[in-house]
Amino acid sequence: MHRSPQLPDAGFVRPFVVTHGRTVGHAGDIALETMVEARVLDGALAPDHAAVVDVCRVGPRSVMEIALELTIPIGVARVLVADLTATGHVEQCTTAETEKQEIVERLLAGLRAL
Amino acid sequence: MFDSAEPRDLEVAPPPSSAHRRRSHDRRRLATFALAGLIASLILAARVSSVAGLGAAGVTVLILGVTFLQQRRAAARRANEPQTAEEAIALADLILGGDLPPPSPHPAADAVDEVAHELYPIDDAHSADTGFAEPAFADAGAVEGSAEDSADVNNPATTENDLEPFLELGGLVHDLLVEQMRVIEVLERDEISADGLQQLFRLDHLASQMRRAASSMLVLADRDAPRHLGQPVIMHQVAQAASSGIARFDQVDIHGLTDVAVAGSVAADLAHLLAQVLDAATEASPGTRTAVQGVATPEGYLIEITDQRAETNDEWVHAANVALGSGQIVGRASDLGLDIAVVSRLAVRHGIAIAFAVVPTGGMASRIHVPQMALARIAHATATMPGTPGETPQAAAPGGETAQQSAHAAAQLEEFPTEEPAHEANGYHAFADHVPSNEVPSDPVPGDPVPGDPVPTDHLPSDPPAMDQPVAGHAPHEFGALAETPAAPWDAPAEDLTEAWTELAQSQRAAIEWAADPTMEPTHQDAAAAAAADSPTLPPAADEPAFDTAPAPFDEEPAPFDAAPQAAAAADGLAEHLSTTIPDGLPAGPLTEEDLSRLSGTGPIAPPPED
Repeated sequence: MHRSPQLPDAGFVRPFVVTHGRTVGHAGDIALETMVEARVLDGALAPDHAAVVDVCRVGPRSVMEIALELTIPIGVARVLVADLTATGHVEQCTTAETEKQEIVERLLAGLRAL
Repeated sequence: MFDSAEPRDLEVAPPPSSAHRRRSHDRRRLATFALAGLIASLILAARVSSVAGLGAAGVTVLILGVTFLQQRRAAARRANEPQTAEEAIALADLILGGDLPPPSPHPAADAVDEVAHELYPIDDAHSADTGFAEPAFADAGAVEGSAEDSADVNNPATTENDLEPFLELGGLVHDLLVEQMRVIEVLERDEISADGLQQLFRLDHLASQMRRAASSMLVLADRDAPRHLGQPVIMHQVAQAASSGIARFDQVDIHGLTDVAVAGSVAADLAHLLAQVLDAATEASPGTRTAVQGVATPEGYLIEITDQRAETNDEWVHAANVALGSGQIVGRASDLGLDIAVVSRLAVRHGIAIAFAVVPTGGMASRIHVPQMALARIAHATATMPGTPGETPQAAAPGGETAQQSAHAAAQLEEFPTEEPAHEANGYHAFADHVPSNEVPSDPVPGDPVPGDPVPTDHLPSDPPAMDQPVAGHAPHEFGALAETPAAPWDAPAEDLTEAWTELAQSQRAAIEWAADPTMEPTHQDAAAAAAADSPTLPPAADEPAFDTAPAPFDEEPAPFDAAPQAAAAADGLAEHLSTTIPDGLPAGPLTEEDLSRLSGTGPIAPPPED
């Protein structure tokens, strides 16, 4: 028989439910390397969005880093970040020239971790 | 061998009953899933050639599985189950114009009967008991069918033993679908294109629905493998998982449900149960929103699914409440439909109570009460309050990749001891153990929530309200969908929660009273004593590290127990518990944060009583 209980089960919550089936967030398309940081706002968030804000609270994060940290698909993280950008819960940060090197390195590290 | 049953199945002129309509609906839906599987596999094959074989195999076996279900249903009609016998009588009644004929006027049927009786002599005794059911059914086949068809209907060889291959294939379908979903997950993870992700989402959605169909098939056959997620799951995620398995998932709005978690051994079944209810709710109310919300009760957690369907069927609601409230498994051939049959099996398995109610302002409310023993508590209040997203656990992630989440969740959740078979068999009696300490400060006798007070014996109304009566003023909240109003407040205001809590508690009390056997005099002292004797396990201490109970092995069979007497006695005990604790526990004004914390069960946990 095919059954193989040792194999990890498929994900419990399917990614498409997290974004209500959307693949583009409310702020439109957002680049994967876009850095965002959390803004303190009143009002409750749904758990999935709240988790993204939580990650960004530590410091600026790229969409790809958020996806890695939350172990969610990149496309889902991008939708969530776009939603939060539209509501102002996260903000895209403008980076100084001197920080570019660091960003590229972190992006590289993120890509390797994939 | 498959075809021999199918034409027979179609040739029977079935009664124009709701049961039949429901069955053809189910069958059409299964056929749709098979077709969807074909499309899904083709798209997948075109996308990634390595999974082409897998997809094709999945579809083939799924079609076999659908055939199995039809065969199984035909067999269920043939079998000697009470509900199928009743259906047989109804069928014969309709076909033959209301009068049952004398047994076996047809020579072919006679011959078949002889063979059948030789093979199954015990049928003689049974036929003598039931009198007319079997001959009537044989005759119903013989009237409009050929001798060959009759032979097929009455051939005892096409019974349980012969279904074994179909059950095996059903399991195979399920496992292949799970594997397919894992492949889709890998593709989704790295998909950068929005259009590509959209296609993968469609594939994922189809596979999720197919998987639920396959799971339902296995549940109906009592062949589903226990699925242990290994860690407690936030109720919000359980509801999300449930909505991923239904066609109209985008109609579902999940509000809150972050203040409680479900034991890993129950989460998958609860998600399946919720999916069945959500599917029925959304299918009945296309284009409108279906709300999922919940509130903690002293005995567990009450989930309410409110749809806005235009047409409600009071008779169905009443019949479903009677059937589900009995604590018995609802048969596959029930007029209530396959959804209810699946739901009842899952509910009985975990001591979950279900009731439906028509909402006066329109729509229907489905209430699902999950017992405390199936829940895990979120240890820190900061994680439970709406508006403090900082501690909220992350979104669910693909399986096998959740190491961080495990650690994160482990820091927040405490699982109640749910693994002891004796505990499971106790039904609601075990709840009293887990009542938060500020609810029952020092309860020496579990099940008796007011120590020292005499147990009132006349607190139950003599005429409990019927569950299908409207529940006043609980219209679904007008929350915008996330899609329209991103990051809108998604929790009900405290006042609404108070109102909802009151109504749900009353409703639940009515449901439990009503579900309890009305002929049985409540013996509360006995119930309390039984609860004390049957519930030796204790909640973990407050400072105990997060759940350390090892996940049950997958091949471990769940402890079988006869649910009916347990459920009746448990319902009795719960009715008593609710009626004695709720009036005291209900806050008079709007809920304060402390109330919310208490209602969520996040207060300090009672130290284990000394035995």
